[in-house]
Amino acid sequence: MKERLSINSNLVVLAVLLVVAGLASPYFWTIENIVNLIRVTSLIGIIAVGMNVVIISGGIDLSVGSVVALVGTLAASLATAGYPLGIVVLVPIAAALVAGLVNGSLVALLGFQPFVATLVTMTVFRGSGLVYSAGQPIYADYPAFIAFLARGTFGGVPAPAVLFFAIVLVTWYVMRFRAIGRMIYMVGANEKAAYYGGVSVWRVKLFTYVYCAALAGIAGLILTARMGSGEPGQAGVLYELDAIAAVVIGGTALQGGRGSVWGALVGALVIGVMSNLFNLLGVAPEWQNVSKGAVILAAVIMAGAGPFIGAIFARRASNG
Amino acid sequence: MVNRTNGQSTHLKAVPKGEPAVLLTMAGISKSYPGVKALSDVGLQVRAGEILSLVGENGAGKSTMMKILAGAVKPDAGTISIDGKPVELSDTSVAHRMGISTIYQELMLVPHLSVVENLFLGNLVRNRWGLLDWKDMCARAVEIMRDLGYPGSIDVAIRDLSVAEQQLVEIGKAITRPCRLLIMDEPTAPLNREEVEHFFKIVRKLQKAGTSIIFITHHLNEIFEVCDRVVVLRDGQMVGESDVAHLSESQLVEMMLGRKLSLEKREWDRGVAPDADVVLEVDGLSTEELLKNVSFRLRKGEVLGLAGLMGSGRTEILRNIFGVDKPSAGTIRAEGKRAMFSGPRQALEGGIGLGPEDRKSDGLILSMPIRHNVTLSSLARYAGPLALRRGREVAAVKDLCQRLQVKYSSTEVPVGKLSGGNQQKVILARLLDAKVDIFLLDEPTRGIDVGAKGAIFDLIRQLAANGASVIIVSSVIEELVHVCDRIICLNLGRVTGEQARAQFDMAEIMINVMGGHSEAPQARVGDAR
Repeated sequence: MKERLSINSNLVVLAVLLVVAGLASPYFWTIENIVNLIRVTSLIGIIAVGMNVVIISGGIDLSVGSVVALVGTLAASLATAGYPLGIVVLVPIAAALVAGLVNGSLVALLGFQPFVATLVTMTVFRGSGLVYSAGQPIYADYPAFIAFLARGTFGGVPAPAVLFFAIVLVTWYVMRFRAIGRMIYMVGANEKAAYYGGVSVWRVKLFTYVYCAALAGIAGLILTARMGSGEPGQAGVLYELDAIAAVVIGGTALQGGRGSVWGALVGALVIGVMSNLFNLLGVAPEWQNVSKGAVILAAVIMAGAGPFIGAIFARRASNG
Repeated sequence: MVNRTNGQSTHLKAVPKGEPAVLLTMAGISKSYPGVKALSDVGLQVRAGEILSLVGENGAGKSTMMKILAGAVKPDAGTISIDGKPVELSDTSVAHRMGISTIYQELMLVPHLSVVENLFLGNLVRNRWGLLDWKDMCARAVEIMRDLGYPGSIDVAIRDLSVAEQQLVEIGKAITRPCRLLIMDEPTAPLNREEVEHFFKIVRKLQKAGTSIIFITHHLNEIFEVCDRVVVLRDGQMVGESDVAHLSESQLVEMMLGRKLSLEKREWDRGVAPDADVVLEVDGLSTEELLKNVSFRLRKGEVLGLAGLMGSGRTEILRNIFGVDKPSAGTIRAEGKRAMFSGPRQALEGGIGLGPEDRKSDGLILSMPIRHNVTLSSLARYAGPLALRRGREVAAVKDLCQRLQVKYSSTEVPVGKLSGGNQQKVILARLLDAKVDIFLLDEPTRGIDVGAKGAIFDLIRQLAANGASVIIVSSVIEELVHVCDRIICLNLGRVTGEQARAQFDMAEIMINVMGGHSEAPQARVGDAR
C-alpha cells in the first residue's frame, strides 16, 4: 500500500517534468526526440534495475559504470580481432559476471562494507580495461546483431527500450514471485533475523551483485554498440550515480528491505527526461550536472512526501 | 475513586499528608490502528508522588497509553490534563517540557557515546558564551549517577556497560530535566534479582523526591513489592483499578484475564520415560569466553529447562547447538549423529530450530508480513516450478496461526504491529512450519503477559506430547518449574545443578543459579532433596 503510494508520487514527479519539458521546448514532444529519449533512458534504466536489486538487499554497487566500460572495451577488441558474434557477446558478459562475483565475494564472504568493496572494484575494473587496451579507445565495426542492439527498432520502438522493458519484467517476476526475490527483501529488511531463520545470506548477497553486474554488462554492450567503439576511460563515468539517483527517486530505501522495480523504471525516466531537456535547451554540460543535482534533490523530497501527496489525493477522491 | 489509607507501608510515608494531589488525568482516551481498536474510552489518574502500575495482557493497550503520554502517538479522542489544566501532548518535546519522561523497553541510548554525553543528549547545558558547558554537565552527571548508585565512571561508553547500568543511565537521563512523571515499560525484564532490588531502591528514592511513576511490568511480585496502586487494562479498556494494599494476587490476575487462570502445577507430571531415546547429546561443550565443560542429554518428548542469569552461558549453549557460535571444545550429537552445524540453515535442516532471545532484532523481520515471517525457514517447500505457491503458503500460515491462536487481522500485516505474545507465536509457527524436532527457545516468554505465557507453555507441552523435544532458557524459575520435565542450573558457564520434575525445589535451583555451589558443581548434579 505504502509502496503503491510512493510510486504514485514518483509518477507525479515524472508527469510534472514531462509537462514542464513540453512547455520549455517545442521540440520535446516530437517522435524523433521521444525515441531518442527512450533509447538513452534505457541504458541508465537497465543499470538502475540491477542497482535496485542490490540496494533492496541492503547493499550498494558503485562499480557499475566501470563494468560498462570494461565490457565495451572487451567487446570492441574482440570484434576488431574478428572473433565470431558469440564470442564478442558472451566473453564480455562473462567478464561482467566475474566482476559481480568479485563484488559479491568481497561483500558476502569477506565481509567488506558494500560501499568500500565496490569503491575499490570501481577503480580496479576501470583500471583493468585501461591496462587491457593500453589506455586507448578501440574503434570497432560491430556485426549487425550488436549494432541492432543500439540502433534497431521493433516496429518503431528502439531495441534498447524493448530490452529494458523485458529486463524490468523479468526482474519484477524474480523479485515478486521467486523465492530468491523474497529472500532479497528479507535480508535487506533484517539480515540478522534472516540469518537466524535459515536464509543463506551470503548466497543472496552474491546473487544480487552478480545480477547487477550482468545488467551493467548488457548496458555496456548497448553503449559500445551505439558509440561504435570501446572507451575504457570515458564510457560509463558517473553512471553509478545516475543509477542510484534513479533508484532513490523510485522510492527504494537506501537502508534496504523496501522498493520496487517499477519505482526504478520511473526513476530512470525522470533522470532521462531531465538530461534530454537540458540538451534540448542547450544547457552547458558543466551546468547540467549542477542543475541535475538540484532536480534530483527536489524529486527525492517529493518522493519522500509521497504519503502526504497520496493522502491528499485520497481525501479528494473520497470527498468527490 | 478509591480511597488511600494513610501509612499503609513505609514507602508511602514520605508523600505529603492528606489526600494527594492529582498530577495527571486522562479521560475518554481512544485510539485505533488499522484493523485494531487499541484503546477505547480509557480514563486514568496519576496522583502526585505515587507509583502506579499499569498492567494487562499483551495487546491490552499499555504501550499505546504510554506512547500517548510520551507525545509519540496522538489519541483519536479524549483529553489529557496536568494539574487540572488541559494540555495537548502533540510532540515528545512537549511531553518533556511538561515533565513527562518515558523509558522504553528498548533503551534509547547512543552506544558509542559516554554516560555523560548520553545523559545530556537533547538537553545540553550551555554557558553564557553559548558553548557547551561540559564542566557543569560532568559535575551534575557525577552527582546524578552517584545518587542512582552507579559505581562506574561517567566517561565510559554506553556499549561497555551492563544492561542494568544502561538502565540507570536512562533514568539519569530522565531526571536531568525536571521530571514529574516517569513512565517505565518493563524496566526489570533484563535485570537479575539483585539488580531489580537496587532498581526498586532507586524508584522509591525518586518517589520520595515527589516524582510520580508509571511502572509497566509482567511480574506480579514486583507490583506488590513496589507499587501503590494498580490500573488494569484489557482489550483496550480499563477494567479495574485498586490500591495494591487491598488486592490479592489472584484478584489481580483475574482482573487481567477476565477469567480464572493461574500458573499452578498442571497435570503433566508424568515425566519422560527414562529409557526414551536420547535426541541430543552435549559433551564437554566449552567456549573460550564462557562455557566450561557443559554436558547434558535431551530425550525425545522432554522439556528441559536451562536456569541461569544473564551471563550464565544459557544463551551461548543454544547458540552453539544452533551453529551460530563455534565451541572451542566438546561435541554435540543429534539422533546419535555428530551435529556440529556450521550455521542456522544446516541446523534447521538437521531438525533443530532456535527462537532467539531478542525476538525483535534476531527473531523477526518486523517490517515484513506474518506470512513472510512464518515461512522464512521453509520457503523452499512453497517454491513451485514457476513461482512461490502463494495460495498454499497463505493456507499453511492461516492454519498455523489458528492452531497457535495468533490474534491477527490478515496474514499480510507486518509482524511489528503484533503484540509481544503474538510475535512469539509467529516464531513458534515458523519453527513448526520448518518441521524441526528439537526446539531451542531462548526466553520465549520475555515481556509477555500471564495469559499469553500460559498459552505458550501449553503449546510447548503439546509439542513435547507429540514427540518434539524442547530446551527452554529462562531467568524466571517459576516458569521453568511450571513447564519443564527437568531443569539444569547454570552459573558463569558451568552446570551447577540438575533436578528432575519430581524433585523440583525452587530454593535449591535459585541457590545453584546464584552460584552458591559452584565450588563443587559435580557434587550437586542429581543431588536434589
